Amino acid sequence: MSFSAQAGPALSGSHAGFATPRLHRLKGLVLPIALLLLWDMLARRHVGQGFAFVTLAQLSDAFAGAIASGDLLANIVASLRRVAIGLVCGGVLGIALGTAMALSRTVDRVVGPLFHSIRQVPTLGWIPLLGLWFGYGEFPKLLIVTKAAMFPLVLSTYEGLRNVRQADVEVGRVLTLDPWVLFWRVRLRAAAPMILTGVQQALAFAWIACIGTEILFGSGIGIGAMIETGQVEGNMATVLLGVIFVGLIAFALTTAFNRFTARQLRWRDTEDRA
Amino acid sequence: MIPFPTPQGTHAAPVAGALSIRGVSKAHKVDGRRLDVLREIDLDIAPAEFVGIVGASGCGKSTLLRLIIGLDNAYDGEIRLDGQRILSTSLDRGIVFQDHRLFPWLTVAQNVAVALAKRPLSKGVKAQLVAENIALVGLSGFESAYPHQLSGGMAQRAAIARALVNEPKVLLLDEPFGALDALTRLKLQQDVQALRRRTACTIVMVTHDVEEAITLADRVVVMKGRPGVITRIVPVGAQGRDRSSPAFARLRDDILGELMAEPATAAVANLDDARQRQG
Repeated sequence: MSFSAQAGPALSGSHAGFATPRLHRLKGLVLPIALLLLWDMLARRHVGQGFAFVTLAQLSDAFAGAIASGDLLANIVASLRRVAIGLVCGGVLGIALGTAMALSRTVDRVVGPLFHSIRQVPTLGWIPLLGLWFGYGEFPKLLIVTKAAMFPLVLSTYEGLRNVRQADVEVGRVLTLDPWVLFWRVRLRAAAPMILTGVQQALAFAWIACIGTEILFGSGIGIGAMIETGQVEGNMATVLLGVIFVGLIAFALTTAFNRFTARQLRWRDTEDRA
Repeated sequence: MIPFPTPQGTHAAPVAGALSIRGVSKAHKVDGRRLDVLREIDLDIAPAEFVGIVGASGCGKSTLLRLIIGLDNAYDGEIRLDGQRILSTSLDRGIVFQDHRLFPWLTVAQNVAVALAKRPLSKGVKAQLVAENIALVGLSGFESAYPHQLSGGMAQRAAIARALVNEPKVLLLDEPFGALDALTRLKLQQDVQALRRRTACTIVMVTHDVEEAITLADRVVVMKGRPGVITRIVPVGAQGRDRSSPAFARLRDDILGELMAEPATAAVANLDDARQRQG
């Protein structure tokens, strides 16, 4: 976004077609469309291996079918619901733990080592264990998404609060702010850019963990489950449809959140301010 | 003494602001070694008086302000405001730092308003106080600007409004115009003079600009460093304020002479120190 804002006016003379920011942004669609066309071309050439390659026509048929039956929407809603619950739970837990570790040396010393060891295990590495403990229902899925969202937030909250400028805290003391006012209005606000970066990561990790869990568990509904079912049934169009929507939704979530972040951090003197 | 104009008269007690600094010494521990920063500082400041403290970098003058504001109470001796020992920060005392130290995530109005967080006033009264003090420093119209959108001089004005909104008995200025260009600095000095006619608070200003101190202060306190001691206290008469008068030039040369008259090694050390701070 910052790139288009900076480059826009400078390019308007030589590339009249891309003069407006909106048109400029459409440039990002060129590559995906080219890839799809390439895919379609390959699929038509190797008709014999239609099992692995589907044409765009087959894909759009599958899309229309999934829309008509309501399956696609139900799967998307199920996945988004998991991510939302995981983000809220993981967000609250992560920010709370990160805050506790940043503000209390004792908590940092007691919890820190365990936290950093657990952190080394990839989220999806917990699936076999959680499966044995809790089965393959909704709860372990939510647990994994929550964990995925929580860990980046613990780190970013910790770092953000640890790096609050001493000058800002001193002003708070000069104004005799109560400890909780100092925390809410000074420390947390100063740490906000870092924490929001953590939320951004949490969003991405939670989405990946959600889809991954759904695929690996192979049960219930969700985009991941849809992909898994497509694979088991040898239905390439469904698999591809799922993959496309995983990407599209991730892109939409990231874009929406970035806008929210830019608005929250408009007090910062950064290049992103257009 | 004309009391600071307020709509509600929030201070019931008469505005005083007598500062008494007695035998104040302060040392830092650096690599296990004791480093004296201030030694046996004695200074009495009358209510509504304006005292300018001048000295080279590292002479402990900013440290003295930190003790008066109450950010640091690990020192020997005592500092009293109207007889009360200063042990921590209080809304009786306001401070303006060299870097404006506005919270970057709050607008000008919010930055001034946050200083009223501890005051049991209604929202309406607070809003009025905020608006009045922003107007007082000439920032009306910039209430919703963020600090990074302001020039250095404007940010410093906002910081002054934040320090004044609680009608402190003592206003401390820690090289408040040190980071500003010459023109802005002159303008703000005039504004501080105008401000003095409207407020009754005691002002202590630390500066390395001797002319600034003479122009604004009733008395100029000369400090020298390592450890910081007061070497002279120079009263400034009415004629001394006029920058074009011979009296002003005499005072300036006198104080500059005092500041330069230190052992050559110490002077060089101070210069190095100043360079390091800037570099």
